Amino acid sequence: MRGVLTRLVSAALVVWAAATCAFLVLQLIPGDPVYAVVGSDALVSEEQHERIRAEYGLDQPLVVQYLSYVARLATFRFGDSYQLQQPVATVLADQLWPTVQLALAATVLAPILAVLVAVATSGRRHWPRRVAAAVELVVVSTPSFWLGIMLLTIFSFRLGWLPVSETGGVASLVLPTITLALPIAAVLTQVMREGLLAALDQPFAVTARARGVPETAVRYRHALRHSALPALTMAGWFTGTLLGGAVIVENVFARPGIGRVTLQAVGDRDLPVVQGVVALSAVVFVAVSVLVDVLYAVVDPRLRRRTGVQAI
Amino acid sequence: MPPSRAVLAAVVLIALAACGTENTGGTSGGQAAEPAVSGTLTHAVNEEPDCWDPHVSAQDVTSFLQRPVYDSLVYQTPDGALEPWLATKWEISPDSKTYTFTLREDVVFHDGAKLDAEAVKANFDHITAKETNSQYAAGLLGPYKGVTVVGPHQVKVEFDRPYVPFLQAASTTALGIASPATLKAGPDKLCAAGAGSVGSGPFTSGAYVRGQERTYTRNAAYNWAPKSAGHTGPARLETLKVRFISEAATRVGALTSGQVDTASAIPANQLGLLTADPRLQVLDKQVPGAVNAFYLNTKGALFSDVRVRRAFQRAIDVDTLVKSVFQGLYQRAWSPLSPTTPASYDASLENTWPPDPALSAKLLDEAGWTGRDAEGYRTKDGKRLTVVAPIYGEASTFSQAVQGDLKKSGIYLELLASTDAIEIGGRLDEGRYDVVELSWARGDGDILSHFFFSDQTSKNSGHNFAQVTDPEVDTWLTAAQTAQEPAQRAAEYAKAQKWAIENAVVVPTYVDTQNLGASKKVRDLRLSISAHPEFYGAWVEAP
Repeated sequence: MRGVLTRLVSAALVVWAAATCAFLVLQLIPGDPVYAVVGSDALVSEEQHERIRAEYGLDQPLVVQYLSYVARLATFRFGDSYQLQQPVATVLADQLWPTVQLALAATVLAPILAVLVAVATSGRRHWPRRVAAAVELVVVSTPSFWLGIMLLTIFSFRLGWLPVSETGGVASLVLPTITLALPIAAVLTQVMREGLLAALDQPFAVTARARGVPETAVRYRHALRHSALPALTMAGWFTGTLLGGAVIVENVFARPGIGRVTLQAVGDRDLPVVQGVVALSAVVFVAVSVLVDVLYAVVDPRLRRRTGVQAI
Repeated sequence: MPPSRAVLAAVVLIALAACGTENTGGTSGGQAAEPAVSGTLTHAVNEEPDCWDPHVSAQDVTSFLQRPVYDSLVYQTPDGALEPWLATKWEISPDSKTYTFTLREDVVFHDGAKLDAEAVKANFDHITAKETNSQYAAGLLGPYKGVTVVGPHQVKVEFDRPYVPFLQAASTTALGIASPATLKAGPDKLCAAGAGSVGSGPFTSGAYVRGQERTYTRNAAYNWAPKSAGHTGPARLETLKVRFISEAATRVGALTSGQVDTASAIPANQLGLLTADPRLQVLDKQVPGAVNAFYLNTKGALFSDVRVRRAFQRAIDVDTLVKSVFQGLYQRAWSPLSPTTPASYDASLENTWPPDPALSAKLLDEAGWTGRDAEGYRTKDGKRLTVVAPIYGEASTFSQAVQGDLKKSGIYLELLASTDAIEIGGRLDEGRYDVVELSWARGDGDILSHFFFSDQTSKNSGHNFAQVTDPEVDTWLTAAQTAQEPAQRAAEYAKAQKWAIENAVVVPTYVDTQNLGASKKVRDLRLSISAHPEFYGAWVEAP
């Protein structure tokens, strides 16, 4: 019970710190935020500037602005978007599902690809490993923007198998998911193969082989768990890549979602939306790290409290 | 006639000819067949409106995407002529301060409400209400005083001073007429337009997925198209879909692979690909209004000297730069106004101020910029000849090319690029710059007033970045706003254009050109005065 409480408090602290950082960074920008509200193409009078300033509370002292911002945050309200004239919470909620779909699909695809490739290339022969490593290097160093355009050009523009951005169907999810998942899968594969090879050198692998366990079973049943731990520690990076990748993928594939809104908000200097996205990302990071802690125990029995086995 | 219009005309002619030959099979006599009245057209656009209320938004894309939904009192033809639309006629008082519109009596909004004088009044009241926070439409109304209902189908719009540009303003989507009941929905609903906006246009706005697409459906009751719309009655398309594809490569790919029928904003380097494709066509049109130009801060320390301004103006080899940067896509400009701006462009300025580095050097010597520093820039009292140019966003290839060209004359163009609208806005308001480069679309020569009228300072949300305060210029521009005869207005605007070039307060560079890639199956599609596609008369040939 106490553990849960500590977790909650620390989670709240992380979100508060991220939100405060976002607030401060955006305050460092010099000048008058009213320009951000009205945009550069507008025909508005000085009097209207004042009205907008009052409407968004921009005429208040900074401390008051900060406190009301934190107060709103605590009640899950982020204020109103400057450009969209809607509550930020509504904007984000409307755009959440397409991004969740994309992120979930990539979260499923990337580890599956990584496991398959890592296991297949961790045998005694060296050449599959070398080929795979070369491919992984290329994939990791390819900008996902370019990867997306290439996939689109081949499978959508030339072959016509998949749509650019058809409304919501499964077919429209295929290419974006691959674009988002491939670089993640490539890094995961490298980490897992390292772990697999290290585990296969351990005495228990020799024992298992000596018992006549088939090679694939040795790798899947015994060694894979060992390689899963280092892969799990990368969950934070994984989440960050998913969120950052969503910005690029959603724009290349013209998909709706948080990434699309974020890019537009940054371009338009729509500060409340940017702050909302930062707070949302912080919440996601906290949630993922909790989930990973639970998964550690699932993957590695040595980490479970009751087993009493010491982790090395 | 500029080449782009010739191209447009040719495309339309070819389209008409093709339509004639393919469809005349079933009909007898010399008449072309009625085009098939059905189909869906999918258009890819590069931008998505932040706010869908044209009374609020200053975004061009909002005006474009709400045009199918909202009709206006006045229609501006692609050539710039003004003709009746929701208003059957109008009377202008001799002092050009009062406009009395007589409305059509048969117009029905999408929600069933009838168009009457009260409805028009409700729209003007909404635009000018403080709570609306209009960023553009209210500005278009200029010296607006008020609107009064004269009869059931007659309204009177009054201004504090003569304001003839109002008629053109009344033709824009920004002053489009919405069903009065929907204006009470509140700014958040009107901006989000999730359930659609309600006007009296040829299309009703339907399902909307932010970041993906907006669907429009034909308004079967539509029967009040303006005379020159090229079509009458309900639109030929049953459904119009607009997809938001911000990435240019994706947009072009979607067009070449037939996943969309038309696409806006084709990048210059992709145009060749489209024109070479036998299934595709390209329509383009020079955008009317203020061309891309450098406005020189005549109140600044450097450019208060007319010799230095002239030196700057004649030092730039505009022709060569425009040709090399835009690969022949854009024309160079000779006037601050685009040639397609109706009844105001002064063609006599063409070729009157060719580049002249020798003259430029002579003028700079006279002004005392005689020294040279280690990098070859001119100096005066040990200070380099630096021209500060604040830029919102990134410096364009063209600006950089100008920078390189000016170096030859010993002038340092300092491109202060910043993505910070606040910083740039502050700089412009406080006059901390030497030049500002920008263009501004508007289907009326009155855009000159926004740039050269003395009270249109940046702080007053005008664009008088040259900081012109010349009583004579004000007189001409006021005369142009007062005169009702187009020829007379054109004469006044010509004086202002000549003055601006002669006094080197502006260096016009190139004429913005909008293009549209389209499948050849799309017929009778034309570009409006603002160079956006007009979907009302368009139709798509069955596959």
